[in-house]
Amino acid sequence: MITRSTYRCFFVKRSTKALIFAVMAIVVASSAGMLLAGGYLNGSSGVKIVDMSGRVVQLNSTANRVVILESYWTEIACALGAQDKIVGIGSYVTSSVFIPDSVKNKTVVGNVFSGVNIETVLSLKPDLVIMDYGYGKSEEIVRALEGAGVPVVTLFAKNFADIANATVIIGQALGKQDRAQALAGYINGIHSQLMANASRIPVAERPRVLICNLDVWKDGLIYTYSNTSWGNVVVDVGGINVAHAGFGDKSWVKVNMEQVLLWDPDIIVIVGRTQSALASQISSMNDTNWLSLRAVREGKVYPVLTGSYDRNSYLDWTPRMVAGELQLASIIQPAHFASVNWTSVRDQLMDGYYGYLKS
Amino acid sequence: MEVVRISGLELSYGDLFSVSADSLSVGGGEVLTLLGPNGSGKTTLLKCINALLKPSSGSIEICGRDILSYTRNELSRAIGYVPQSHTPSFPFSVLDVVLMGRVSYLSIFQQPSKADYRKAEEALSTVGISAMRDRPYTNISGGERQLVLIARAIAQEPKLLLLDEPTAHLDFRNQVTTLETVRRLSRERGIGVVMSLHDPNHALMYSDRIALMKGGRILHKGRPVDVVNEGTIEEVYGIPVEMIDHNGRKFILPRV
Amino acid sequence: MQKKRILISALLLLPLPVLVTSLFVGIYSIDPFTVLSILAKRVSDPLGSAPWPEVYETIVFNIRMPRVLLALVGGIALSVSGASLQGVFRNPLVDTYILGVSAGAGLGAAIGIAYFAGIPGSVQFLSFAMGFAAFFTTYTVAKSKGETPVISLVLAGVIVTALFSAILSIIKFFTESEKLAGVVYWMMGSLAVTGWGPLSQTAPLILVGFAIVFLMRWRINVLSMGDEEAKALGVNVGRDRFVVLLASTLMVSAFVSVAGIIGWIGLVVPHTVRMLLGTPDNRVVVPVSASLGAVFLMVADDLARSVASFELPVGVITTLVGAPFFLYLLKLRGGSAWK
Repeated sequence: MITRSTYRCFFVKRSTKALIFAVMAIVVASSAGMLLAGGYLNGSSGVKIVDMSGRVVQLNSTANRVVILESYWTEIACALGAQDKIVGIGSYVTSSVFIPDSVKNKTVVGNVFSGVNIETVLSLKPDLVIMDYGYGKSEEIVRALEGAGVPVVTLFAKNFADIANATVIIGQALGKQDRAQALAGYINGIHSQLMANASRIPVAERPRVLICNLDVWKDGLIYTYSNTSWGNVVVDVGGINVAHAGFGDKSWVKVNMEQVLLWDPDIIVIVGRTQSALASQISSMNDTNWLSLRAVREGKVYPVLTGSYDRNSYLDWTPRMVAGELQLASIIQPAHFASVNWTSVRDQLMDGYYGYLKS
Repeated sequence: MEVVRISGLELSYGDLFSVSADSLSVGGGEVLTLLGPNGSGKTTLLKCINALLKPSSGSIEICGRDILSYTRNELSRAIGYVPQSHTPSFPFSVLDVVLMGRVSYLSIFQQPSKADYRKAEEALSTVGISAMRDRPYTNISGGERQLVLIARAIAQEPKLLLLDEPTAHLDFRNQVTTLETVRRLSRERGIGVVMSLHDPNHALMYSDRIALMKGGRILHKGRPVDVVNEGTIEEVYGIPVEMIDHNGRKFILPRV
Repeated sequence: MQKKRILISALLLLPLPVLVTSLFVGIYSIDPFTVLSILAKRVSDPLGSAPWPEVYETIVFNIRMPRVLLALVGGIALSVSGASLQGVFRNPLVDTYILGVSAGAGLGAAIGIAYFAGIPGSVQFLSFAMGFAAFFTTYTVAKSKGETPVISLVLAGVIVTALFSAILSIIKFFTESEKLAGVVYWMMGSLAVTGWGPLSQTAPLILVGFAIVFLMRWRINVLSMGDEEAKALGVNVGRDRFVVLLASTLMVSAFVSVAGIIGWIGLVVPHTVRMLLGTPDNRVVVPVSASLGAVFLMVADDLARSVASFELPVGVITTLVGAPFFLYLLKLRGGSAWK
């Protein structure tokens, strides 16, 4: 007969033991699983990357199937010769003229602003996603991708050094370390020489430069670059940015004609993404207000292409920037940089790293 | 039992218009008619009794309690207000409209129960319109709508019924059936009724007491035979009239 | 009557099959039987090994399911809010955003994007808070002598919307073009890259708001007869109306703060329900609108994430479907869509 106490001794002891055993088994199994998934048992074949937001990304090996959301990182990947590894692109990659058709034909997965179709990314079975961070839905996208087991490398370029840095990181990720180091070294070399030369120019010989865009908002105001991108390049190549006095803490500022007349710049640089944008800005300067400016009367107005919509654009967040800087230097300090032919650097770049565009 | 007692009531709309009622009372089962031309203050007085308007002085007692001591909810269980039949917005069924009369018995998150439905159906049959229960409120005649609103007021199980010009916009037949219903309800259920009418003959036929109003004041009040005569009607309406007697029933006719 | 009852039951149950079939939809093709097996296995044998790749489960449980559920509660929030507002304002053209919630939420999001970009969750919190702020501003502006009449609420809503939109324009004016694009896209409304996080934050708020409106659905009938009548019948009109508006704002703000501004559902769904059922009685219109709204948004989002390889903003789809449909309704019914 089975009494209560017998039951307790026999069954309960047995089931407690079974429970303890089961718990230990689960712990061991999941630990093993975690170790395996974490790659710690893999050994040293992994690639460890520290991306530009400080995240440490561990890859099992260099990526062979990569999705890149922005055109500038895609451009760098192509310049490194890794275009065959690209399996998916962001919405705006197709509008860059520095990307070959073979890449532009890849599947479009979305963008950081309106969101990325995670399923599309997963269906491309990528080893890696490269994207911007710090705005739009970047956080949610990174979280969703990592949650689905896809590693993400995030980048952001605010200045020239960032471009070289990004180039090296992309090279590491795509197995093009050597070429990346070479490209970075090449552009860094030209850049630092330019900076060194420019820094030796005495203040008295630095022209006052207004760098602006006349039709960004089409509201009649002049969108002026101050403490940002091209605004700072002006200073780096030996000019004085008129906007830095008074608006030095702002990235850009919208001013009216009065302010421009007050500034009375020696040189005006007009930027735009397309030839037609530049042309329309130039023609809008045909009125009496502009003509009262000394720089306009003296013909010191220079249109410069930026971005990636035109093959003649060199001011952009890519290695092309080095040619763009030289282009600005030749405008702002023609005497000091007479010996440096920015077009030959441009041609070197285009024939070399950007040779893929010719095929 | 006194259902309404008004004393010393005064209400003014700035300098434009004022209404006063010195002492007025209505008992259960009694029909009081406020009689007078347009603009005599009848509707204003009714709205005061229903606390839709607040008098500047005076007191109103409902079932022996000061009206100000009632919450909105409690007041609606004592007073059923029948507005003039209006163009409705939505095609609720007649039954649904009458059911809304039960809202003062339900808390904010409660739904009407079977008991509420029963009371609504009872109200419909009391008024004699059970056959219309499923018809859309928007699809019936003005007179039928007035009866529905009366049924809704009945569903509130009130001690007092207030009717604002119940015969306006109704044809001859509907005017008669409506007023008949009101008087019958008052008698059968012991409900006090205060209604405003503009037609002296209706007042004569269907009231227990009449308050004759002009310019915001009650000029005469009392039993119909005492209040309505050629002199008083001419005084209030400003047109020459004559009173005739037919088989003991009195009528006011305009003098041709 | 029987037919009506069957129709209502069918409509109330519709979200369930739509939910399941929505789990079949997506660029990553997994056949329906496998999806069903994945679901069944999670219930019966969660830790066991599976004959399908792990990524399938990630897709079904981490990508599709939270998103479909978000569409479901979002559809409920928008359509129930629309239905209740239409009853309280006694006007079929009243839209979910009439009290300024969309302008407030948009402004909050813009402030988050322009000035607090680094702080996680800032956009969501600010848009939720500003949506409420807009509602309270509207309500306070409309209040006079202790009452908030309907017409004052409508006018106040117009004023507040204009005011908040103007502030939004100023902020846009001073924002860099890159960040500005973020604001524009946010306002278009999208369920892209949402997950269990946003769902768990908004669903409870939406369900609370829905519960309140659901319990008050008969009361809204009484309110829809007009302020004076409702008062005479014994309703505390000011208080009851405030409760309905508050519940509606809660639902809508919660959803808009994660999904942006998705329009037309609050307008089109309750209308369709009233037409289908032939009654304005909110006792059925509210729950059936909830149901149909959930279905509408789930289907719209299914399209948004499967029609192209990239994401289409679902707000664009609801407008492309909703606006012509509304036009059709208007033509059919003339001015009075109630009858």
